[in-house]
Amino acid sequence: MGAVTISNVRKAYGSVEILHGVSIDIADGEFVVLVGPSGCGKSTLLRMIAGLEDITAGEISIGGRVVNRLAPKDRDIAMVFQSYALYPHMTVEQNMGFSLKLQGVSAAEVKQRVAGAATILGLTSYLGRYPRNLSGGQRQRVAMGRAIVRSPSAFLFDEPLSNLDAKLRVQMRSEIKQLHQRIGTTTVYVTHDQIEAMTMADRIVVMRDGNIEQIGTPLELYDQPANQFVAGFIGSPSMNFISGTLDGGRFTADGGTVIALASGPASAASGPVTIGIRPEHLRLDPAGFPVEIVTTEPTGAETHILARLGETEIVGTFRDRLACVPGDIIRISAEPGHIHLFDSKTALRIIG
Amino acid sequence: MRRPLTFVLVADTVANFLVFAPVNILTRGGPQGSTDLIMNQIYTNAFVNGDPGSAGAATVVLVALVLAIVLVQFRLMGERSER
Amino acid sequence: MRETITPRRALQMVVIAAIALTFLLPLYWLTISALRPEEDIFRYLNPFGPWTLLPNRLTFENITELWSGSFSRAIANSLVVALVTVIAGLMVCAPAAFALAVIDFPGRSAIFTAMIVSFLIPFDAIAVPLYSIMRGFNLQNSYAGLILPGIGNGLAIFLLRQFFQGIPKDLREAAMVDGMGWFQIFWNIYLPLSKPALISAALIMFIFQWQAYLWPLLIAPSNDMKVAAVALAQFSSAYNVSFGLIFAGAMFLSLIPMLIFVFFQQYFTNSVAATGSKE
Ligand SMILES: Nc1ncnc2c1ncn2[C@@H]1O[C@H](COP(=O)(O)OP(=O)(O)O)[C@@H](O)[C@H]1O
Ligand SMILES: [Mg+2]
Repeated sequence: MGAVTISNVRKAYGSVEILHGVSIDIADGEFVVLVGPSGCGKSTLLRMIAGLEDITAGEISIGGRVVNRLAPKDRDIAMVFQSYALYPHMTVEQNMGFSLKLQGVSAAEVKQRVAGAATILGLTSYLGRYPRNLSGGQRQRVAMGRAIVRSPSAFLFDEPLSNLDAKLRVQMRSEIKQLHQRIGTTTVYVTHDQIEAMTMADRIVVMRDGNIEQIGTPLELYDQPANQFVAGFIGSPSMNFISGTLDGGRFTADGGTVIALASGPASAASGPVTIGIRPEHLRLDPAGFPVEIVTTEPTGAETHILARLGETEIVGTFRDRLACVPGDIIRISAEPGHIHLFDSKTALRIIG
Repeated sequence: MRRPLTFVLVADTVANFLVFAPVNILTRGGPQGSTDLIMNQIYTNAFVNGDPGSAGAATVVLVALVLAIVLVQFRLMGERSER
Repeated sequence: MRETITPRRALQMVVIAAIALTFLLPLYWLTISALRPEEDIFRYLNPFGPWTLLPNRLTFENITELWSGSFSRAIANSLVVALVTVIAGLMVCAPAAFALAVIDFPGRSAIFTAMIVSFLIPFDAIAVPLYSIMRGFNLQNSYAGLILPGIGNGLAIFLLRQFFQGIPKDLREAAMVDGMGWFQIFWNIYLPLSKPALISAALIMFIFQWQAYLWPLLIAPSNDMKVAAVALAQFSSAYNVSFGLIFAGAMFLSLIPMLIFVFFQQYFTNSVAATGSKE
């Protein structure tokens, strides 16, 4: 079966270590997204699972079998590349069927399985075409078709949507998700786009600089980010951070503004803290703290404002239609239950 | 274009460095050695005058000379055709 | 689509045509001289007049005489040597270039450097010592002796390696994941995508053998084994120079590679168009 276990994996190029001991347990059938800023080592980790990069230290197993020393072809995985990597001199049908042909599957069965995958992906009428005669979205589908005909233990995707335009990206996102729901194969999906991660993943692995920052379901990451990095990375627009001091349940921002917190064990701490408030958790409140409007962006459904609290810029998303102009002072507050507390020194979440 | 141009330059220089056939066919080095080039001399020493020793010596000198030119060409290319 | 012809463009075209003519003129003169009676060949050179470039009498006698002699055997030898070199050479050079371009093995760059040096040194420079070695193996007057030095062609390897390096890495990684080993990747992916480079390499090796003179003169001087270039040179001896035969032979010697080139040039452009897409 298709469970993938990554334990304490490290990667070094020469003397430079770029993955510093990464462990992830991926259950059979799970859709896991590796997300993080560019250069954090996501692709490298994925390529180590695929067997395209050596594993400097640690162990990777697929379906209960340690694969550290196996060649890619012996790992029973399929991979979709950002560039799609379709064979230019082969038709769609040949591209999709080639791996089966290599395995010695009979021509009739190859044809049948390719036809099956083509039906799922809506490629039936393109089977005779060459990749150069396909649109970006169609190429993308062929690349997925090439992966699914083999029924591997696991699918690996490396930023498969980043070469598509925005609209197609949204569409392919849901197609990939539906495909996963339909065939249920373990999937490891790499992206730098947190929205892709949030919308597609069963579980998300947030990475930074070769380390895992947090692993959890999309809502866990949204509701309980383990640290300030995850809090800022997940969610759009990003979470607002206001630094200040906490003293007996009372938070005073560096500029002197007092912001009310929900009472609980976390707010019982004291010392320098940073609070995090998501833009969607701000509301207009005559009893709230005053901020100065910098810009307003009405989108129809919502109004986004950029405002200033002392030196700190704050982004808010409001359902209300606000009639205000830059320079105006409005009063807002945060729903106390949705304020996150981070230790100012370690940037870690203060559990409460 | 820089790389193809260097390539052509190198290939052509090399191709024309040692000329044998025209000398051998048209003039045989004459009159009185005025059109003799090193390759023809080596050939004549080895196979006409029956003196392979001096032909061998001349070959060593020749290869050393060519290697020196090759090194200069490497420098000129600057980039040993790395991606 | 019709291009508008600007004065600048027209000038360019005239210059290009003039250059092309300059290259073609010797070939033209070669051809008409081969088709003239021997005594006419140099007759109209001085003073330069219309009959210099326009043959007033045409004859096939030079050509019939050429083919009735031993020249046909020499052409056949040249063809055998060049074609076998191309086939065997591709079988050696393409895998070598693939390894140098794609597989990371210890000593790769040292081998690559040595290979570049090997083709930067003109072959003739090492012909004499190589001859001693080949004589040690008793390869004089044999096809093997003629062919072997042409098989490992550094220039062909270099050219193929450069082309292989341009094939995206993703493609071979996808192939690995699909289940191919090195040889299958080479065979199923790299070769089909490299037709233009393979044809160029083949032409390089063909021409290398076709124009070889010093080496065949050393290794295969016998009447049975001599190649066309050597046979042609022997039409001029100290006692007798038969210019009719020389021009006729030179015409065929130039014509054959030209035909091959023209034939493959079409194919070459086609395959460039076929693989010209970004992926
Ligand atoms: N072959 C390599 N040699 C040296 N460093 C590399 C190599 N490949 C990747 N890196 C480095 O490893 C880090 C992680 O790369 P990568 O996994 O591609 O990041 P991501 O996919 O998260 O953007 C980057 O800093 C990159 O520069
Ligand atoms: Mg990447």
